[in-house]
Order: sequence, then structure tokens, then C-alpha cells
Amino acid sequence: MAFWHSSGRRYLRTEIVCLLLVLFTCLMLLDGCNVATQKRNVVTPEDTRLLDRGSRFLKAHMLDGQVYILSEWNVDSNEKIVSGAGELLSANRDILAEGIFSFPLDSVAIFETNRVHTSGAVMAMAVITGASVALTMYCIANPKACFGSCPTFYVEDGEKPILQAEGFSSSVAPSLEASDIDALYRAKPKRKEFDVMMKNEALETHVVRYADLLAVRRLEGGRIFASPDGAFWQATQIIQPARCNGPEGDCQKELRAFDGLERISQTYSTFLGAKETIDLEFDTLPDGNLGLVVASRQSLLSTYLFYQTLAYMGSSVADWMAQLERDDDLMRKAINRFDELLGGIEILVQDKTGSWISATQVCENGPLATDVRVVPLPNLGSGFQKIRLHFTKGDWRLDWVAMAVLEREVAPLMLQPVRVRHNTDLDEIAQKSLLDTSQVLVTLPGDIYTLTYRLPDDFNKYELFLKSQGYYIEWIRDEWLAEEDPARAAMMFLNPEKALHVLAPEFKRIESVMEESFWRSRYAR
Amino acid sequence: MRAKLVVGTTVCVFLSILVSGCASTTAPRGWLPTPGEAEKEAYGAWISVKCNNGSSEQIADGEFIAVRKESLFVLTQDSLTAIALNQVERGKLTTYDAEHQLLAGWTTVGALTTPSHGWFLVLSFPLWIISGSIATVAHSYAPIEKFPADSWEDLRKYARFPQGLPEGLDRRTMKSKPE
Repeated sequence: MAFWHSSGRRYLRTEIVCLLLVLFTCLMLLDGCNVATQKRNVVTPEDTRLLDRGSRFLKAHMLDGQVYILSEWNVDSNEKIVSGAGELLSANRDILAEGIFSFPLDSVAIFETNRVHTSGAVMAMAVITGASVALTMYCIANPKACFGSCPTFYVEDGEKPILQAEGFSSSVAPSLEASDIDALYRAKPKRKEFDVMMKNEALETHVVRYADLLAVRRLEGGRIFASPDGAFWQATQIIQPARCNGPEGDCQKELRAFDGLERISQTYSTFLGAKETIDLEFDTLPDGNLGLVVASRQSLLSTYLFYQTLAYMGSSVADWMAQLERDDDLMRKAINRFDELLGGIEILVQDKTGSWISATQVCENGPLATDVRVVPLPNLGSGFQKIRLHFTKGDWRLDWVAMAVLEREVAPLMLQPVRVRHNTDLDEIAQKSLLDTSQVLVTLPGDIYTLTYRLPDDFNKYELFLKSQGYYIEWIRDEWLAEEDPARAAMMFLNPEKALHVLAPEFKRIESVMEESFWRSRYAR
Repeated sequence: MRAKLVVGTTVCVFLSILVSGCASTTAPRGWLPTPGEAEKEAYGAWISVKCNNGSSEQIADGEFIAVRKESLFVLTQDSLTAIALNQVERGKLTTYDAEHQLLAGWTTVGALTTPSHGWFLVLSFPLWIISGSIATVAHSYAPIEKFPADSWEDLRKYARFPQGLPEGLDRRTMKSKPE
């Protein structure tokens, strides 16, 4: 925890921490002390307008001591009828009948409703878990621009460590735990022992189940690419497009090589889900299996939408996340709907009749590391030359697009870490956690783990990939809590199309500065 | 060294808070419903009453059955007992199982993740322990209603029969909640 001095200098005092400890203890002792809690209400038949209609169950206590416990209940004050599905219990609470019931309102002695809530204590714990921390001026100015990511992975490119992968970017809750394969396309091992640095650079808790290295031997002059379905392809010839046209005009300069020069667009000013296309033409393509190589990463649009949703949830975020964990259908449908609206990069090929045929989508999420992937294309015979990319405007940063001749599918060697260091210290417990899939390694902001893998003797002939699995939990920032808005949170889930319209002006205001703010707010020791 | 001192101090604080702070109940293990179960059950809350009739003190523990104008009814292990309201010294109702041990577990797990923080442990470990302990204790009191209360009207809703003891009910045939 950091405290700002009036002079603006930030300093840390354990004396202050101790004082807080004493204060907390005193508060606890002086104040006799406010998972789930339950709130119960009782209402007489004359006051049915006071019934809690949001209660899942209605208990109708009868004059003779029996009770109806009803779900999907209704109390019609005009017709003076109570109806619902459930059980009738005796005074001793034995089940007398089950089914659908309907009975007169005036036969009821008293109604009882109960509401279960996430307890305030649990919400406090959720906020602690999603701890609020004062951040830099960049985050205060642009709260949704605060750095966030899943684990980031750095490898040597022959000179220095570079960011090459971000693991399981979409796994923002335990129930969304997933595995992810990332190409370490620029990795250049110098020796048999190869290090991968795994960092937690955000205000998040990362839960990593494993991080394995996949090594595939490549042919002389060729490369290996992973496809969206997890297959690995040996590629020989790689062909640049002859022409590239987007809404801005010629885009060949940005897409001709994997060089860090990205083709970027801005979102549409009134609808964040608006689409755009890029058309590519190749002069001559050889026969055989072809695949489109795409090097891309997301812009910060998805990050913004996710963080904004968390901000709208505010102090109720634990309630929402608990619903997701309970496998709530509505929540999952809403998440899927957002995915559908924004989508990935759809790859279309033009057949001989001039029709566009969808090949597949590239959906590698994450705004940090450019991922390189190949999309095997349908065999349309010789002559086809045109490819179309169709995606959400402003959602993707494209670095390279090329056609590859796919020789054959190959299988990778799977390598587990032979050594793990936490910062500079050997950490056998961490290593054990990563080797045993029934365990997990939990990392917190600032953690750096160096994972060492042992490559085959001819290590420089291998293409390397990282396969990781896990999930991560965002820490709720103070600045986000100020935006708590249950109605807007509901909009994000119940009407995501509308949300993409409503949020467009707000996002446009920060879109141009978001990138810089984001990278400046990385958590570092 | 500093980290060890902080950890040691806060563990002591944690234990003292949990030992002295959390609410307790005389309800048998497994008797109390969870909040979710309580939505669908129709038994009364667990009541513990200390009463004094002028010559002796008695404690009655059991299910809160009903309250009438001048009496409250408790179903103890043996029978349905009527207690005059004017003889009630004090007591408490436990309306559901707060499951606060889950929060205590959460606190412990959260605190145990902090050693990976290095120097940050000095801050995050106490934060977890202190805040988690307070949250745990607070949560343990959520289902508790103490009395004497301002009005028994507020407490009758936790009875098996919130409408009052039904006329014509055969008290001899009253059955306890199965364990």
C-alpha cells in the first residue's frame, strides 16, 4: 500500500502499517461485529403489495399450520388467488402434496419471502481479493487504460528478452480456465537450456496450471505455424500479397513483413461493432495445400469493454462473478454474444464464380503479444488469388499477412520446465506445481518466474511454441468503483448490441491515448 | 526479518480475532440450513433462551415454534415448551448457517499466497489477515438475532409458525426437524 505525501512524493512506512493493524484490532474489539446472507420478510394477505416479488420462493403459511412453498409464484390481489408450483407441507413439515397449486388469498395466514445475498463480508473480501490500489496519474486519468493482462511471456530474440506471448487471455474467471498455444516466432535459442520469463505485470492474480514448451523441427529454409485448431504445419514457401487494399487505401507496406509495423484502424464513432474489410491479391500461387499466415493482436477495445463491465458491476462484482461460476446460462450467453458481435478476423476466399467463401476465423485474444498463426485454406483449384479479411473496425492490429505452402502436418515435442526460478531464487515448489496438472501456481503483481526448458541438441533447428493453461482474476481498481451502475452492468449482459452503441462516444474520447496510458501503467517493482 | 515479524504479529492478531470474535451457536451440527436451504425450508430458527421465573434460572434450546401475546414456544428435544415472555432474561436466534469457516478458509488461502510478494508481503499479508478476519467475524453474526428485542413482532418471522401457534394444533404430536 502506498501513501501520497502532501509534497507529492510517495513513500512507504511500516509504522503506518502497524498503526493500521492496531486500529483494525481495536475496531473489531469495540464493535461487536455485520459466502451468503439471507433476508426474510413476512407480509399479511391484506398487504400483498409489499411482497418481495424478487424472492425465488413464496411460503404461504395457512391458518391450520400447513404451508405451501411455491416457486414461479403469483399473488393476484384482484382475483384474490395465490398460485405457483411446489409443495404443501403439514404442521410437522411432512410433504402432503407436490405439483401446481391455486388457492384463495383469504385462506392464507401470512406470507413469507426470503432473499439470499452475497454477504457484505464476502463483497469486502472480493474487493480485497480484487484489492484497490492507488495508481499512477495515467490510470486516474484513464481508468480503463490501466494495464491488464494474463501472464506475459518473454524470450530471447538473440539479443534481449522480448514479449512473445500472453497466455489464456480470455480466461478471466475460474470457470473460463482454458489452454492456449502461442508461437514464440522470434525466439532464437543460444543454447540447449532455454529460458522463458513468465511475468505478472498487472493488478491481477494469475493461476497457472502449466506452461509447456512445444518444439517442432523445421525444414531448412522453412517455418512451422500453428493453426487455430491446434495443429502444426510445416511450411516452405511464403508468398507476399501483390496488392493489399483497405478502407484507407494501400496497406501493403504494413502487412508485407512481420516487422512491428502494424496496420491499425479506429473504431466507428457510433457503433463499436462496425466491420471493415481488407482485400489481398496474390499474383501466382503454387498448387498444393495453402494456408494464410496472419500475425495479429487485438487493440484495447476488448480490454476497455471488459474493464468497463467490471466498473459498472462495481462493489457487486462478486455477485456477478459468482453467477458466472454457478454456470449461469444468461451470463454465458451474454459473454458469447459479445464474442459473436466483435468476433475474430474472418478469412474469406473468392472462388471461380466470384463468390466469397468463409474459411475460418482467427480469434487469438489479447492486446499485448502479436500472435502468428496459419489458417489452412480450402482447395479451390488453381487460379484463386483473392483473400478477404473481415473484422471489427478498430479491434485488430495486423502486422503481417502472407500465403504459405503447407507441406505436411507435424507433431511437436512437449517439454516441461526442468528448473523454475522465482525472481533469482530456485523455486522447486513452483516447478512441482507446473509439472502436476492437479496443482496450480498462483502469481501476484510483480512476480517473475523464469522457466528453463531443455531443448534437443540441434536446438536452433526447432520452431518453438508455448502451451499454457490457467485463468486470472482482475483486481478491482478504486477508480472503477466510482462508476458502479447496475443498470449499465445489466445492459452489458442483456443488450450487448446496445452497449456497443452507447459506449462508442466514451471509447472514442480515450481511444487515441489509451495505448500509451496502458503500457505506462504496467506493474513493475 | 521485518517480514517475519509482521507475519508473526498478524497471525497472532488473526487467531485472537477468530477465537474471541466469531459468533457461536448451540444448534446441533448440521441442524441449521444454509441461506439457500432456508429459502425452501419451513422450520423455525434455532433459539437459545435464558429465563428466570423468580426462583430459578432455566435455559431452553431448540426450534423456535411460535410467539403469542405473552408466551413463546420452543420445541426442545423432549417437548413443546411454553415460556412466559416476562420471564425471558435474554436469548438469541440463529436463523441460518453463516458458513463463516469458508471465509476463514478464504482468508487463510489469500494470506498464504502473499509470500510470493517478496517485500510486498509486509503489506499484503496483514491486509489479508486483518480484513479477512474482520469480514469473517462480521459474517458470522449475520444470522444472529438477540433479545430482549424491542418487539417480538420483529422476531416472529423466524418462527416455524410466524402467524402464531395454529388453533387446534395437537402439541403432543409436534415433531422436531430430522437431523
